[in-house]
Amino acid sequence: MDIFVQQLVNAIALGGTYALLALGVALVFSILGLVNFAHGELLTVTGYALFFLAATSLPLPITILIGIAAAAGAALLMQYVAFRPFRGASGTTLLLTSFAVSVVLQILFQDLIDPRGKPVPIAAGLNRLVDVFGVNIALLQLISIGSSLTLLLAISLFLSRTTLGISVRAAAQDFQVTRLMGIRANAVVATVFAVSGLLAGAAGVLWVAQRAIVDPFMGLAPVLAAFVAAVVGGLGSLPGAVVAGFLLGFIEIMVRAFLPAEFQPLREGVVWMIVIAVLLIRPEGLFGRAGARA
Amino acid sequence: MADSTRPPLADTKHAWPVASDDTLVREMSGAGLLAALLALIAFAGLPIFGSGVMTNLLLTSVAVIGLQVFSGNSGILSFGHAGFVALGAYASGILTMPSAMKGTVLPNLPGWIAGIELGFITTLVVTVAVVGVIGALIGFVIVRLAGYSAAIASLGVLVIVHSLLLGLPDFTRGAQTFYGIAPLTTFPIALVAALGAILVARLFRGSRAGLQLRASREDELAAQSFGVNIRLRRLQAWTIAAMLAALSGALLAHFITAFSPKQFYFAMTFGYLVMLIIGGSATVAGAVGGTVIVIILNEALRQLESGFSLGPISTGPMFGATQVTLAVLMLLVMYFRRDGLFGLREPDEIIFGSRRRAE
Repeated sequence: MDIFVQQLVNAIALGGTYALLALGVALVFSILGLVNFAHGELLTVTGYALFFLAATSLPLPITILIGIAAAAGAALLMQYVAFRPFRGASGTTLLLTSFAVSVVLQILFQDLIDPRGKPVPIAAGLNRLVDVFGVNIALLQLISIGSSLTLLLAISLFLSRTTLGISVRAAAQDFQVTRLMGIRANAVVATVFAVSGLLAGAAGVLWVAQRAIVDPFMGLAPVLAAFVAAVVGGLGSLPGAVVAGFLLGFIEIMVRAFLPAEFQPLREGVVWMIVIAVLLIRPEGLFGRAGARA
Repeated sequence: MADSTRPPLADTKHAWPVASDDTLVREMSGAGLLAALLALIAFAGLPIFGSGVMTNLLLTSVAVIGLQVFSGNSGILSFGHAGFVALGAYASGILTMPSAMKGTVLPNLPGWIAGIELGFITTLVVTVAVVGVIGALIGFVIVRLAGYSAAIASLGVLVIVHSLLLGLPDFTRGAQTFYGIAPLTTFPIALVAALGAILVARLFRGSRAGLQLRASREDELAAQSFGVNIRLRRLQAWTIAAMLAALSGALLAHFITAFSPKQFYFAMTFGYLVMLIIGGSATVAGAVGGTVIVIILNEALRQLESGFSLGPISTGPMFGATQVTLAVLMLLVMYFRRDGLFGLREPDEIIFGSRRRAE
């Protein structure tokens, strides 16, 4: 029972990170029709920011905030430099554009920083176990769960209570009509990228804290997870992305915990098979509307 | 994507797209022209780049033509193509390897496979057939999904194949290098394969299935309302694409003779997509042209990557210079020529006009 509770905590922690990532991907997709392959590189940006700031004597909270801000800034820069010229292009063009951006960034990290991983010891001291109702749980996992839930709540408040947030949601429904209602397209697009960068930055902090290392190709695994969650949730559906993020975290942890040892190398493949099975049953995703733009 | 520059798809005489005899002749002459051009480039490149580079070019073009058959005609990106190339490479490697060699390279191979030792041609046929069946089974799942979901699921195919290669070391040596494959692929064999792939892709593109699939790419609802069975057409294209990928992989295995799973992952996927997009995904000429341009550019850039000196300026090794250049090239092509360099018309369509008859 203890083991199950511990795995459940792990699942919620990982699922929370995936939910943050998937929400960012879904937000951008719902506004621009862009499946952003370079979303993973935002985590890498955060990772490197943390690595460089670790050398300074800044207090940890400031370091983390700067790390998250770096990802948000990178997301805005990405949108201005790479995606803006392609606005209105087909989804395929946009997807390939972001794929190219992702490759360019990976190579830049590799050439300008280091092809090998760099240690980021921000989580030193967070790996100890704490006793919660008689179950030993890693402190980092609790922080992870707490911060991702807080952030998801904050984003949902932003989206439901503020004018800008409501215009983002309206634009996700129908960008053309929203513009006709007098909402400035550029403000919405910039907001969406900033928020998705912010979410990726937060996820990046949690991701790097877990792995204690940052390398140029680190973004691949999380961006794949974010895609899976966004698609399983129903591309463009924001609640769907969050729910599917948690679901994916749960599946991954359970597969990791309960798959027999000799099949462990097949882990990723097994997770994807489950995902494809879900898509077979619901091709539009869990929360997708049939006939929604696909 | 519905731009007026694209040639009309439907035969203007018939209400229903039918490839009549003279269009078939015209299309085959276009395929022949493209094949002749590729052969000319391949032979011309021999003294400049060596047979290694040109063989690689031809083998890669087989895979990219395969990708064109599915992605180009259906408009759905496939990220799983390199997975089928990997399956072709590993399957054919196991099939041709002499039993004695298998004892060293794959000591834990189950007996029923360990005893198999086939000739090269038989191996190619078996590999393409087996991967074709696997591709069809996977495709059955993929084609049920809508556009982007299908693309993401195809990414899943790549990940699943990769994790199978890593996770079944008895068959593949896992992450370690798979070696001991006879160097049976020669330049002429690669040339024949590439020319054959052009023919297959053009036959499919001009066939009823190909026309219907292209119609569904332009307007899914309209095609459906004309009674096009989109899923079936996508499945056919996906399966042909998987078979061409397997052929490319099998020939590649017997050309490079040693490889590991990581060679058939994202870098390869990215390479194929870049070639197809730069050339233009809507035509077979685009697939071939893109491959030629990218591979030759790659060769030129490889010099740069190992560092170069230009008078007083000298650089150290620049890792990934090729990939960055290709990525930027792809961005430029998509920005200035969204349909790719050769993506609007096949050679015969340039010469005879786009399916409009002179009557």
